[in-house]
Amino acid sequence: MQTIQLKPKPKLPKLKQLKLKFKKNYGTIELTLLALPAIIVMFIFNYVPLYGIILPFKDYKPMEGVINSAWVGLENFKFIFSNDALLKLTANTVVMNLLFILGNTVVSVILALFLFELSRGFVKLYQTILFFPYFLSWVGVSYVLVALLDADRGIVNQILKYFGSVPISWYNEPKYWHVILVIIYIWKMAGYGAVIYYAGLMGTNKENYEAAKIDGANKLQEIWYISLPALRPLITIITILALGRILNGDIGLFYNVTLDSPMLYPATDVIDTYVFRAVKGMTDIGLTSAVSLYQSVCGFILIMIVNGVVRKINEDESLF
Amino acid sequence: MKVKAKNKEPVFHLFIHIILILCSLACIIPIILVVVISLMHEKDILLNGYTLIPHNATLNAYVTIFSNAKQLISSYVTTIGVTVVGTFTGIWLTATIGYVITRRDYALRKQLSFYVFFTMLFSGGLIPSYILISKWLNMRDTYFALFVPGLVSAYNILLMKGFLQNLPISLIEAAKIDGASELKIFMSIIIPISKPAFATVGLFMAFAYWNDWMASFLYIDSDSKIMLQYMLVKVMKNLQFLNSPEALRYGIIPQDIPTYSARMAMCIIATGPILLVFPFFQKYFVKGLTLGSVKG
Amino acid sequence: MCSKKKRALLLALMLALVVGVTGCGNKASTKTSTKTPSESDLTQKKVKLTYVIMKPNADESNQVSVEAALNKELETKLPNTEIHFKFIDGSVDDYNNKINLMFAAGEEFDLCMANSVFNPLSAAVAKKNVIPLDDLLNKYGPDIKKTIEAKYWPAVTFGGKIYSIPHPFVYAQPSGFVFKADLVDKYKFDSKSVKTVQDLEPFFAKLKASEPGITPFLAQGGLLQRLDNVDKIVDKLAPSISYDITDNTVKSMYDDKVMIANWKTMVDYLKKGYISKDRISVTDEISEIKTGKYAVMIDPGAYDPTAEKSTKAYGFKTYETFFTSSLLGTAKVTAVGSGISATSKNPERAMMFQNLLYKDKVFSNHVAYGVEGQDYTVVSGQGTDKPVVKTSDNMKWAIWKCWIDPLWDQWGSNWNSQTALDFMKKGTDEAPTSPILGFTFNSEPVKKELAQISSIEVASYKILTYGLVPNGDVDKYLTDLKGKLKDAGYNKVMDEVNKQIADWKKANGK
Repeated sequence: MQTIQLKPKPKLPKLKQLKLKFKKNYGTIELTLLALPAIIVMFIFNYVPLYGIILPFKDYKPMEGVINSAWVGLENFKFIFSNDALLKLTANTVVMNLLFILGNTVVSVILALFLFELSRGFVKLYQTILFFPYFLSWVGVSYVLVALLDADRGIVNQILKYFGSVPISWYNEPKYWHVILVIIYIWKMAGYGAVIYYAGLMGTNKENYEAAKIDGANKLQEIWYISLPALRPLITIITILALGRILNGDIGLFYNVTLDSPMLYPATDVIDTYVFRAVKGMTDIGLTSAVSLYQSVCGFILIMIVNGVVRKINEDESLF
Repeated sequence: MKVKAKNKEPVFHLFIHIILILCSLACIIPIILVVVISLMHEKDILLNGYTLIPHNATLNAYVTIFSNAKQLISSYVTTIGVTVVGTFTGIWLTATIGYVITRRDYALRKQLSFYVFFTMLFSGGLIPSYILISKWLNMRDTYFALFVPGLVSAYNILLMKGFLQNLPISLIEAAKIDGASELKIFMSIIIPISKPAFATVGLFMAFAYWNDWMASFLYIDSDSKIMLQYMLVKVMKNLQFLNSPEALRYGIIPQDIPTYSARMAMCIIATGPILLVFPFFQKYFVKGLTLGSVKG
Repeated sequence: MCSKKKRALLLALMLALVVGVTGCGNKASTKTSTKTPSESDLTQKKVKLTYVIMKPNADESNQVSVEAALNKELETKLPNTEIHFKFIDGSVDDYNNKINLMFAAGEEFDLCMANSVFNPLSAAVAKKNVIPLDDLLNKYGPDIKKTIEAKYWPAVTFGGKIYSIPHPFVYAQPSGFVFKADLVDKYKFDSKSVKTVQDLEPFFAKLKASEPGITPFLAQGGLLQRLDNVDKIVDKLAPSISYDITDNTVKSMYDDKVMIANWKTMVDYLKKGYISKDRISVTDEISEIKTGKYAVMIDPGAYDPTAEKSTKAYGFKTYETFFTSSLLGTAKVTAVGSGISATSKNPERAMMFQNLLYKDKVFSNHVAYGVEGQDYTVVSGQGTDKPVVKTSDNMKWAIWKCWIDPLWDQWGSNWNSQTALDFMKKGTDEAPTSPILGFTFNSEPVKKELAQISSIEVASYKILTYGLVPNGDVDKYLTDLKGKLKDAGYNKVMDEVNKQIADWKKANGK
């Protein structure tokens, strides 16, 4: 029996080896070049300033610069952990953000699905109108809310009085505010979300809908089996991204809209508003940067966990 | 392939319209409220309360704001310029990197994704950014400071990734066989079929630029270069300070400010115009008749 | 495995790049020159000075022409010097944030505000953002030293060195009740006899009964606490802690019997409808007052027996009644003041300019009022050294003198009449001085506790002042509050305050 001798691969000269490697990775190089301008811009504006992340560990003196200021280790972090209040606030912040994410996603997706059924003209009209609240800054929203909820002059109380009910001192009663804040958040952000999800639906394959119709599927089935799965990658990404900021309370919403009324704090006080009040008189960035880092690290851990879970289910849809 | 919108389920459609009309009212009425308040007399608001129909309309608030016409025009021009340049440049940068991350055959995909995503959560804070832009890059009091820092944001990139996720690899492979470079593929294939994605992200970028006041506050010294939102915020803040108890201690004469109505007027003047941009973007991402299937 | 290595390598590469770039860019701290140049070459070099102050007026569009005129004046008064004012817009917080960024980026500027409000002085000193002024004052600031009374310098001295120039100003402003004149006249209320907030009860009762459109009292904290026997040493950070000069002890406002009684009165007033239930949604007090629906409120800055200021500020005729004077304590004395930035390349010239503002009253008034004819007109006393002027209706230039030099040198005008200025000066000269004037509390050792306390007190202050205490039970609320504050480290702060005062007294032979 003849043993088949595999001819060993001829060793190419060094230059040819490099050229081969280059050709093999040419695709990668090309794509990287395509993305390079963005990568550079990102490096300059996002990575270079990152050295500031050591600020919470330092006793920062502007004249000495960030690098040369004295190291104080975990001093600034004691502010967070020796403080009962801040930990309780973390809970309130997380709960409110979860409600926001859940409520906003559900409403946005439903709106997008509705819009998807309509003709061009209607979609343009509704989309624009639904987007109006997003235009208003939180400060603007706070003025509108005062117009509605002011105890003596607000429209809601005027209506209540007209119907003989007792007017409510809205800015003094915390019990309504979990709901009020969620409604306001959805009101402001749903139009934005609807635009995103609608565009997502736009990218889906029309043929699937055709096929479904031929098979006799009704609207609900269409939505459940085609539209929603098509939106899943988008919903996943947006939700993961939102979870990364789960410890961050939007100051515009929690401070301006509530008029910083202390009576409402049990429902409306979050990490960011607390810190804002605490450091108002000082110009010390050690404390604020420590809290910032705490929020970022927690958000990061959460994202890593969720992303890991998503990756196990469907690798494409994870962030990375 | 033209798709005719056959109204197969009229009941469902009616239901949709009712819901959407209600939502629209919920969105419009507060905005109308803003307009109405901007037209009311200061005293009327404080004495009689807010109403949907103003009793004595006055353009006082608007007159005050428009009194400095030269500045207003200058800010409008700056803002429009920054928004246009920033949005177009930004979309290109965001899309290139967002697209590259979606390519499953890209060897550095995981690394680049992480590179982008990391910046979302961790930042050095305001001080290093300020030192970078103001000192190292010497962008203080330049137009660059108004749009360059905001060109590439991780959120937009990842959003773009979400949109471009389902691009058919077959098209790309076909083009490669034909010998097209990645750049050519991107420009002649990806861009045309991703119009909704580009338009959506572009709209958000334009909006962010239009409303930004932070960059003007931090980096701009000359009045001619400040952006619209800041111009209005600035006047309001100055007057608020001058009327505060702290300022009065110094013996400063409190000057007249139409507060609530002026603030509402400012909302209208500042954000109103961006609404006009909406239709421009919408035609790219609202259901068109010829957005055909891409499956080959 | 391979990709993990790649990722680690990539991260390492990025980190290396970042460190490299920042290493290059982060210059060493600017050292201030300790050698003073000789007199002769001092004014040889052409120097452009920048003075960073809060924007004094919403409209400063005449800045170019005014600065041109001032620079022309400087040709003879301080040769080779030009001045430029950099105005920071917004609120106090905006000024503080912006100037800290400017320090951080090492931006060059010469003079800036450095007092308890703007660019908080103790923090600025601790961070070395402003330089010691002793040598500069001795060499180039003779008129400054002449003008400022010796007793005020300790308030701006840290570690034996002076860091700010406390401009003469009405430090200790008396506070007063302001009454809406037509209501006082209508009900023949003896407003002049009012001494405390309780004395207002009969007036309020009458108003509530017969004037439905009027809210009797705009609850403002300044009308509850007498300030003539307490020195608020921790100032804004913990305003409830003060030094009681009657028995030289550090006390908490929450133990003060008079304050407790006042808070109970506020609860009572809220119940009776003398205070609005919606007090909390009033964010803009001045505008609110201008609507004319309140009968009693606090003065718009300082008590003025002629009621001239409040009438002008509020837009209706007013009467004023004295409530309390203020103590001259460190926090008050440092209400205004300027310093020289560590980023300045010309500290000597900066001091010379600042001295000129003190020495040359005509020049300093030009800085304040602008260009004659364009920004102001002389009403009387043309050609004298104390004319009376009037600024134009749409002021396009204004600098409040107290921010950069003595208020008392300001020409009488529609801003402050000469009578008002004289009254304010007399009040300040005769104001009682705190025995611990000169003591500055160093908040560093208890900064965490102060942050927490501050967060609690911002809320509790409003609740107590507006009578919003739950169930109207002030005693219980205070017990709870004190418990919360104790957990936040209130006692630790009090101990630290006591310790620092004791040390200071020993070191200063008191």
